[in-house]
Amino acid sequence: MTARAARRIWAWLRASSAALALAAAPVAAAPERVVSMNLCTDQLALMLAAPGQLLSVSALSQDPRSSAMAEAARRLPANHGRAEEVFLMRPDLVLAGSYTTPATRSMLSRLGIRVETLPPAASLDEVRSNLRTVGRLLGREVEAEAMVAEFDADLAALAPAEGERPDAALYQAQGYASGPETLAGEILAAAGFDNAAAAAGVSGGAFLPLEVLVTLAPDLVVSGGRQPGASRAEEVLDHPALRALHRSEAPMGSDWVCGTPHVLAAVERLSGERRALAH
Amino acid sequence: MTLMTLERLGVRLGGRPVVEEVDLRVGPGELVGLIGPNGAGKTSLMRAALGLLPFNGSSDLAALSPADRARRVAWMPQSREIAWPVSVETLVSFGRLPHGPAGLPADRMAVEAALERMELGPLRHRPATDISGGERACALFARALAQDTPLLLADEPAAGLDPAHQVGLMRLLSELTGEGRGILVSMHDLGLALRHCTRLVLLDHGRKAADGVPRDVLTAELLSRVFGVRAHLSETEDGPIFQVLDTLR
Amino acid sequence: MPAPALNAALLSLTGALLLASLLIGPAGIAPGTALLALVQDQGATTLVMREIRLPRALLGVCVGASLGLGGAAMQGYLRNPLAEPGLLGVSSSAALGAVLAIQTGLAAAFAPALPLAALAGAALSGAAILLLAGPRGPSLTLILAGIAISALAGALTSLVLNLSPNPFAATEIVFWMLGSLADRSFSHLWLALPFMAAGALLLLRLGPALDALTLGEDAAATMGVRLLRLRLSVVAGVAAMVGAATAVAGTVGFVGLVVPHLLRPLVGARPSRLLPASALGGAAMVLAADVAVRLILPERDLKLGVLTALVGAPVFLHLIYATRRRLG
Repeated sequence: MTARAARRIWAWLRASSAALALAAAPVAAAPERVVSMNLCTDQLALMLAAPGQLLSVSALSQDPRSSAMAEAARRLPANHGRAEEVFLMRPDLVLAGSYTTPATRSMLSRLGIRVETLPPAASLDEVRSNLRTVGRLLGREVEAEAMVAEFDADLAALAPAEGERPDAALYQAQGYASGPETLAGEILAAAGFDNAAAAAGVSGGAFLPLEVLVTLAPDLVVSGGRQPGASRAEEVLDHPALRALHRSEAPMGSDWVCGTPHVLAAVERLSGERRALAH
Repeated sequence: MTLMTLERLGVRLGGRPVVEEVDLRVGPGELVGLIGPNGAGKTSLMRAALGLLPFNGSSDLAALSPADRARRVAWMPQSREIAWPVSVETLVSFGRLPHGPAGLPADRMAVEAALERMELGPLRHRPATDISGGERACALFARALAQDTPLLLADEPAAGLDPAHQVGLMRLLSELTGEGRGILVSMHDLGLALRHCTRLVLLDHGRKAADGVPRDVLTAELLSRVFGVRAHLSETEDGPIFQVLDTLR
Repeated sequence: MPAPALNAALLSLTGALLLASLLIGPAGIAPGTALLALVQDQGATTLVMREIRLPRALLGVCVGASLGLGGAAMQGYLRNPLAEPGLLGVSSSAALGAVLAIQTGLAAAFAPALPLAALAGAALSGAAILLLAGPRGPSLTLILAGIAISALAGALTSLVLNLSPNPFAATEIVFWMLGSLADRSFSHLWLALPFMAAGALLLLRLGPALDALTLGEDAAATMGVRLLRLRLSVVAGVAAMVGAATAVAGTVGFVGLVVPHLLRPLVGARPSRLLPASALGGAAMVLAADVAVRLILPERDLKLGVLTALVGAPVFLHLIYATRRRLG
């Protein structure tokens, strides 16, 4: 590489980092027309947005099977993740998740709309950071900080006393198990359980053969909630070998899906089951 | 006693009559040659008689149950189809299928006799799909023999055989009729038909044009009208000799 | 090879693979412990052996026998070594029937609706194949008819699964296309077994008729074979076996092609002897494939059809090469 070329690249890098710093700085005026296209950003925006600031949420967030805030979401018009309908709402900010179709996101950006993408929360700590990010994007930093503080206080109140930590496994359709390094895994840990799948080497999410789960013999198995219609993927949850294990009363429902303070409800329910197990 | 009785048999294919009003009986000890030009209805007549084609009129063979018919008559179709590379011996043993569970001593004897009669001993372990066309015809004929029925219907069994095998086959047919079987065989070689058959049936446009001893059927008048040929026919010490000389049309 | 020796060899092969299927699994249970747990209650190990590995292994035997026997019967009837339930769309139509039964909720309301619907799908496509290609049809017509029916059934299956309100439904298109025995239980076995048994009884009795058919339809008809009844028996028997197998295990391709092809020289090419041999051979092939998926990628649910296609597709290409004159 010639010295001149290196200098030129260096100059370019400096210029772009300056631009990045500018982008990260709080926006002068808060957006007035916000559209959210992702189940989790929907819920964060519903919690934090000022009245009238949020125009539309995704249709998924109006479904109580997947959304912890279906009722609040139904008060707003739904969108179905299509660039055209979102564009016609004339938003000045679009909130998307990293699983929102990249083509839709880039289409909206090309049309001159500011699109902000949030990764799904993989830990309780990311619940805090997501709250702060959305708060900043909506110009509602103060509300966000208050909510984080409340979340921390509630979580501390739920913290299990020292003592026995029973084993539990998070086992969903198709034999998908969540390990300790996932949001669901942290919910489990916060409720005072050890993650049984960790003994089988699962840290993130992985397919765990049923016979491995049965051999681990966890004290509790928490499964996914039943979806409408039928699928073969869920048949494994009815397998006689799984039925022989101790099953949780409450399935992994809408509280488990997104990194919002609603996860506390899941922690609370599981803590109750842990106390029941101890007796 | 007859082995096959057809009365006023008619067959229509695609709305066109191909066999009309044919009365035919074949009795034990008869070697009946079914002759006629291409398209005269020989194959259709035999298939209808066996119940393989829809027909009107009556055929006592077609009226039998499939199992009973399989013990009355063996059929050798013209297509020499062999779907799988089974050995010649296995192929011949298929002739015993209508006789219930395989492997009885009677079955073994019938298969051995058929193999011997058709001189297939050296070929018995060869795949039936790998032998020559003529050998294949012999193997299929042996299969029909192994079925061991009083009546045999064969559609041009001599086609594609070398002269020695043609004569051998006709002699075998004579032998079989000598044992009391009845045989109806379609053929194009009128010389062979004249020398070996006990009776000839001549079909013309689906209708029976003549039925009788070979000398009475192969008349100059019928040959010219039905086949459109002129022929030489003479008696010699070696039996009758027939040779087509020329076409008339 | 004489029939008893061959069948005994295939039976011992199937038995050995059945044992392997019981002893190999991600849980890593020692063979002695595993076998003891089968007969004596050992807690979790017994649960694994009796409720997970045993039904899976037995289902492997039944599914394999169904596909092998179904393939041998179809080949015998169509007199074509390329005839195979998977390639001719019979399996994918059975899968469509099963998916419809599951998605309409029929299977949940009435369990036997699942194999019955798969059977109906298989029977419809089987009848369509016989009508389109006919028993005298050339290989080309047969394969083209099979491609068309497979494509249609596959597309409709995907459509039904995509329309489902269940978020998992769309992900299981792969299962229906490639098949798997993972996590099947005894309830699946009991559901499929009666249909498979009825189909086997029907097909195994067709040996003499299929032998006679070697000589063509005309010759067979004069050897006491009732052709219409034979045709109905083949369609009904293949539909019952392949339908039931597909309903519980998805479409596992190529078993009905490879097994009869490999065994044909060993039975002297006789269709009647090929039937029982292919049933045993099919059981061995599916068991072997199911053991292999657990050895290769134990933590992923590798689909059975991936392995059978790896073996089957080259055999298929070889057969096309060998029959290319007829295809032209």
